[in-house]
Amino acid sequence: MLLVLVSVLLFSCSDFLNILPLNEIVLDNYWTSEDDVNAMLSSCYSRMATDDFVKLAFVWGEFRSDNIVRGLGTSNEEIEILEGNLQPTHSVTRWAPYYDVINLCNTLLYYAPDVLDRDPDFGESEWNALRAEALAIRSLCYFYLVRTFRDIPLVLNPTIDDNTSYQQAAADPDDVLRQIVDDLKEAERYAVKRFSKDEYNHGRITQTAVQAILADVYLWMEEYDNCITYCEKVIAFKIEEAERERLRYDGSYPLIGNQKENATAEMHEAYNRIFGKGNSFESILEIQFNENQQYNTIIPGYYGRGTSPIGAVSAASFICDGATSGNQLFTRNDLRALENFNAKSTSFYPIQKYVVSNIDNQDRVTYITLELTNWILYRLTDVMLMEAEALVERQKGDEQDMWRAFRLVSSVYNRANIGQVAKDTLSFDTYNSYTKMESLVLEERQRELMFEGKRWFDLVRKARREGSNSAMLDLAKRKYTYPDAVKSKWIKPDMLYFPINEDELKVNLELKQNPGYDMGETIKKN
Amino acid sequence: MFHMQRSVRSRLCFLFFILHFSFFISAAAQGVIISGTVSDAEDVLMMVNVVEINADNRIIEATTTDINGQFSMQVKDTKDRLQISYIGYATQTLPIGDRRVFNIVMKDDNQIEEVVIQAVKKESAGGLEIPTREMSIAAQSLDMAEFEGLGFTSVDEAMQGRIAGLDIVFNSGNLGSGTTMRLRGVSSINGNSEPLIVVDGNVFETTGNDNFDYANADEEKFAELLAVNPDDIESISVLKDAAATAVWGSQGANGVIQIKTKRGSNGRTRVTYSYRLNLTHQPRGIRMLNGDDYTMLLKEAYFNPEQSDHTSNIIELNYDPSFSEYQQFNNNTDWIGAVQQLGVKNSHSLSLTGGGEKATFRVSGSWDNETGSIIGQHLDRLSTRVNLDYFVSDRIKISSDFSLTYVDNDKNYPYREGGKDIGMLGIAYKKMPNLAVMAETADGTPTDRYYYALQSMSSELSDQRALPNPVAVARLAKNKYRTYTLNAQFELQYDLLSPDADGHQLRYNGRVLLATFNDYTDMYYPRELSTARWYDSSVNTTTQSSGRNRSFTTRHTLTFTPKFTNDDHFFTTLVRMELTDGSGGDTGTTTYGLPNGIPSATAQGQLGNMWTNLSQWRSIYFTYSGHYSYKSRYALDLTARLDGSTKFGADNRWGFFPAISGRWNISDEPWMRWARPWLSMLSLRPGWGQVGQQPGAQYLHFSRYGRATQYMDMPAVRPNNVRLTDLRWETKTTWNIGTDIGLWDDKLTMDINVYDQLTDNLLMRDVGIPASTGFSSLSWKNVGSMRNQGWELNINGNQVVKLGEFKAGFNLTLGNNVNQIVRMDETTLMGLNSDFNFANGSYLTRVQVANAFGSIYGFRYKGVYQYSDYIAGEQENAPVARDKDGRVIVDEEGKPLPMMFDYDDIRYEFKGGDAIYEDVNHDGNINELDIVYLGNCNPKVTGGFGFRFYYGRWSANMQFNYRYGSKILNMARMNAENMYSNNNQSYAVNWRWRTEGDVTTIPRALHYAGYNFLGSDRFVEDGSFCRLNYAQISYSFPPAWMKRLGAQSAYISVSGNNLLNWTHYSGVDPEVGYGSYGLSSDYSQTPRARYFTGSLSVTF
Repeated sequence: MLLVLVSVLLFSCSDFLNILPLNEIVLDNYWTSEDDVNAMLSSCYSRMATDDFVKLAFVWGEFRSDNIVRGLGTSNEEIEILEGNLQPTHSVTRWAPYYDVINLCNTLLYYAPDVLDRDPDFGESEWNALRAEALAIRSLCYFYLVRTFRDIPLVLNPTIDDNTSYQQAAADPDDVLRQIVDDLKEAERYAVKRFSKDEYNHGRITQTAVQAILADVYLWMEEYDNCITYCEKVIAFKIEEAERERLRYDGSYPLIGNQKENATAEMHEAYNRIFGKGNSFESILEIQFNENQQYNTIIPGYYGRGTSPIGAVSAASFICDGATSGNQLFTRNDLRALENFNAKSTSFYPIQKYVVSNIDNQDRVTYITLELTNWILYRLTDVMLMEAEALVERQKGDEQDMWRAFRLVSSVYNRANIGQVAKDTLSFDTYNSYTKMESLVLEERQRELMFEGKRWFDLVRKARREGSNSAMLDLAKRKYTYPDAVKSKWIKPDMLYFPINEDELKVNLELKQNPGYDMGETIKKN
Repeated sequence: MFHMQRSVRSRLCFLFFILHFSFFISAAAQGVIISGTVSDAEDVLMMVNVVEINADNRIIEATTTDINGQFSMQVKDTKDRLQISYIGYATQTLPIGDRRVFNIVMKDDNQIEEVVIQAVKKESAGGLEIPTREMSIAAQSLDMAEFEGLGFTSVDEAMQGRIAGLDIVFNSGNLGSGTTMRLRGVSSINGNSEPLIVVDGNVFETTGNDNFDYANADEEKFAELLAVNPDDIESISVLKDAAATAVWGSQGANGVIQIKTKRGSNGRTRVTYSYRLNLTHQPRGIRMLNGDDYTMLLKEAYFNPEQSDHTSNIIELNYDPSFSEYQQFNNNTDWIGAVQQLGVKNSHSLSLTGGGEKATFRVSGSWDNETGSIIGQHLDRLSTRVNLDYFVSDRIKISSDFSLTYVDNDKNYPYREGGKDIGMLGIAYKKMPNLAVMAETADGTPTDRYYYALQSMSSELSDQRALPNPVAVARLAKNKYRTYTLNAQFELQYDLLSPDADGHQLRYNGRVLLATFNDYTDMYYPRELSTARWYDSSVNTTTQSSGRNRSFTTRHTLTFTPKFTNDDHFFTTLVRMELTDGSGGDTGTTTYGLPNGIPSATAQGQLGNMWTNLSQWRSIYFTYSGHYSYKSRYALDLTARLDGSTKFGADNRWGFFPAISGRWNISDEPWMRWARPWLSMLSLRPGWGQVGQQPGAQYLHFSRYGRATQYMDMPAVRPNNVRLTDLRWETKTTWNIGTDIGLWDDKLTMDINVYDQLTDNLLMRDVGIPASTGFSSLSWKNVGSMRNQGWELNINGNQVVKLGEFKAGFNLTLGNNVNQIVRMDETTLMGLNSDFNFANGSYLTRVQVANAFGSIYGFRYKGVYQYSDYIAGEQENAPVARDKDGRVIVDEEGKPLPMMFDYDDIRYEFKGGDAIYEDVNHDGNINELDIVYLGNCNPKVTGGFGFRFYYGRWSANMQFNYRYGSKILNMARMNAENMYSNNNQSYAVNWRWRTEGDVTTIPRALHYAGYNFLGSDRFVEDGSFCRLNYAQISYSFPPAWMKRLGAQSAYISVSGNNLLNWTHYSGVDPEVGYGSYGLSSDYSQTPRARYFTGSLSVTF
């Protein structure tokens, strides 16, 4: 009798104990409409538009390169990395922000097909377009990880509950790259070519953005033909866009500054449009920041802001010394020597790219006041120079390729040396060998894409290609006070990649430290 | 559809219990009219109570006689009886029957018969009332009567050192801050480790708040929960073992502190007023450098690393009169003195108690008004409590309790460093002492404007620039915290069978409790306090937030005590069900860049932050408890509890916790008769039980999607957690064997407990998982098991010495607990253990299976190198490598090899003035191989002792507490002696090494360089101490004097708290809180406040 009463009570009381969160929605009640899919996709993007994500994109791509040295208020960890002592304890070896985005993409790719049955308005074509974006974002994250760490776990399923340990060994880097290529090719098929909202064409994945990423991936994989094909697709699209918008331009490429409509424009028009305003014609993919959401505080923190123009990092002195009157990297009239940094400073050379919004014809600068600078992932000249690199490397000296590569480089170069006297333009005769062209492309990429998180990967590509770090380190070591110490430390091929954070190794026992950073058993305890 | 059904059913479930109450309201019947007169031997009596009572002595109808002594009333039932009562006369009870007119003569009530009361002292552990002699559980109680007149502001202060096995550590000297309590050590990793507080049988759980993080809770928050005026407390008992706490199930996993408040008592109304004056004084802590010494130190610290005047050329340190801020930087400011003051607290409390046969009451109110010993703090606390008992009849009792506490706390504006509020004092210890408090004019005269470091201050000193002026912040910034705690309870007790022990007893007890807790925060940081640009988020910032929590609990208990024909048997049992529904929420807004002087979060400004949280919690508990005893000599207790929780998914929703314990009173055995004259009690109490603990958060078994920051114009949603499908209850299995000893008629009592607690399925918060999952951690996980073993001894000598008017008594507690990990997930264990890192100031910690917590590893510190260069025979004390026999190791050229700091890529050559670390393996390198075991943080014994003396109307009371054998990391001293940053340093650094040849134990100053404060035994100290917690003298005035003043009694007392501390510890206070599995580190720079109390209490 009592037992019956108690069991009845327990049954009804179990319901009494069923309460749902008041501030959140549970999985079982989500994934019912197209809006749910869109909102998840939006969070994939918004997690990229965070300080953590952008910080790593910048640190991984620049910190070990020859572009930057310390500035003011640089943290101990940053100084250590800048001085060549990268450790597995450093916070920049934590890859969590990238896997966060990857997991969001995985979640979307896993659950969104359910919505097809639940929401009659959500059809295959809508789904494919959203799927293409998720695949491309995931690929982009994996591409960053594989370039930075080489040995990484490849996770393609969402993390939902605690019934597995999630310990996973690193995948073969080639498998990761193959997965990236497959996903990107799939994304290319379905990605939106042109969004109706122009802002989306720069802030979200378009077909062109997918192609730009693919070109970059192929360049990394040393599949130069494919790289060239995809670079040309991107360039062709931009030319098509220019025609659509009836832009007239000098030369073969629709670069800002060469555009006829703006003949009266200022000298630094390209800089002002690309970096000052953002979302320029040349832009392919930019992580967007605006007042409605998070501010981009990372770039002002590192590069500086109007109130404190010297940030935590500054430009390396060998790049800036005498840049305005011509040095090993810049000719006397290269506008980029005025745009990328302030060469007139005395103690540190403050970075100006992304810090100033406008440079006038007298080279006077206006600082950006609100921290809304977009972080540019791909833009036209980057793709042009990728193609140039692929052309140079494809046959390593084929005249036709060399000429095509030279044309691409000099287009980019001439835009920055606008209206200058002939002696400043490049002449093909000077760069008639593979070695010279190779270093011209590398130098032009450094000048053009300085401080955009590209340089270290350019250098690593070189080392991978050559099968030796030596030549690349001769470039990278130039900023160091004791260059040879750094060179000897980094000479092992493993040292091109970052160490895996020690905390990650503690919780994922399947993972092995990058051999270059493994301290060995003497120090390990337990 | 499904949802509706579910909610209807749960509502039905709820209604079921509410309806229980209406069940007892029965209908009435028609009656007849009676009348009569009441007189005594001489005259008629007016205002005599005439009532109709039924068979249960419940009052049915009532009236009083008029001026002529006459009455008339309608009676409901002629089977009832008529009761006539009047003060000073014997009460008469007459049957009504057919009689309609009553003429009654009252008789004087002057013959008091001698009544022999043979009451058995009973106690309750929240469930059954059991004779104290039959209690088979480990518990200890305190009668608050002995604390009367002491200057306690809270219950925890009174308990410190008095309860064996209960360690109480005070959080800080800030107003309204509370304590950390640990009963029998830490048995959970980072679940809640605080014991459960139960006030009058009600669990204090106003913030059943989801993510209330007890380990890091704002200290005030927790203190507010315990807002019971000490004057209202009758007794406290602490339940220790699982058999004792089983009644409380998962709520009582960390032990239970039961507080019983005073209730009204029969008799004439008594009014008691008491007043306390409390003076609080913060002793000086570490003596810091003055401005002149500080600037000298800093210049050396900047010069030393690079041996360059260039680096030490900082204009603020140069005393250069041409510097525009020269007058602001040439001072000798005592920042600590500037933020301290004498704290004053006035407490008034008033209580009324009294009642008659039918009803008793106690009403009390108190008002505290307090200014802190740190400037800018002010607290007002108003609390009231009403306890009413109404005896409807012999069988029915209704009680209603109501309490309200309002606290208005003006706190200092928080200044956070590393997520922790270091307070004004924390700033004062760091702030450069050459800086002015008030801005000075060009000739050095202070103005009435506070000085703030300009943004143009040298960048080397940017951390000092960021430190606000603490005096200005305390005076100008606002941080008002107000709370309202309101508890209302209604209780009904009904004896369904016999109301007393003459027959079978079946008692129903039902109660409803409504508890609310609301809090409001208003903060404002005005423009004047920052020299940052107007759009900086620290300028004109205001935060307004409020939280509200309410919970509704209903509890139903049936107690059955049968009457045995053979009195040797005693059995009592209860079943209980309790149900709680709570909800809460908080909202807040932070706005900055407001127009000057408008501290409103909704004014036009930049929105800094805006939040809303809603929460809800529910629980159901079923309890069974039974007690059987034979001849009061053998007792057996059985308790079982079933807990239902919303925190687990359907599979693990119910937790079942049984306990069994017994007691054998050996001294009652016939064969022990020989010992009776002196041995009043000797017992053995074995007990076993299990209790459980839930995680501290709701909704863990759901995969929850929440709003994320939008991207461009696209709203975003993302999953927030990993769903925990596998989470189980943390269960603690306890063995306890205790014995009670009473000597000489319990003049000397003693109880000893030995216990072993094994916690399984340890709940751990934020357990790391590979970041490649997209999440950094699982919010909770069962990670392993942990064992606590220990013993406790408690001795009480109640008036053991009696010499005429002189009496003396004492108490003593001793306790020890050893904690160790039995098993733990490999990854979790690795996550807890840090690798050796080469940074200054960090100690290696190890959590190892089968080892106790809290072991310290580090280098051995051997002083300071006197010289940089080694010259044999002359400059021996120099950094060179030496072999086992102390001979200098030389290279092939005969040059001595230098002593190096060698870790990974860092090769640093030690120089004169650097710290000497013992090169244990004599390899000329100081590295991880030279790290040795330095001691353990766990105390060997903790406890307290006290003495009480009485002489006539005088009494004196002293209480000590102590800890023996613990090691402490004196981090406060490390921070004050490391000479590494721009923070002000201890006076001791004036003895630092400055030039070649200096003999000292304090290394040279190196600004952000060198390895002078690696984790070493230099900062590991013995933390044993013995503290005189309080001493008090009180005097109670002779009743004859008081009669003349119209009062009943009065006493006056003076007490001092924290008067003396015997210790070798060089820090300010060796009483350091527990790191749950880490090391005991002392960061405090100021000893706890010392305070004096004078109090006066008068009862009318």
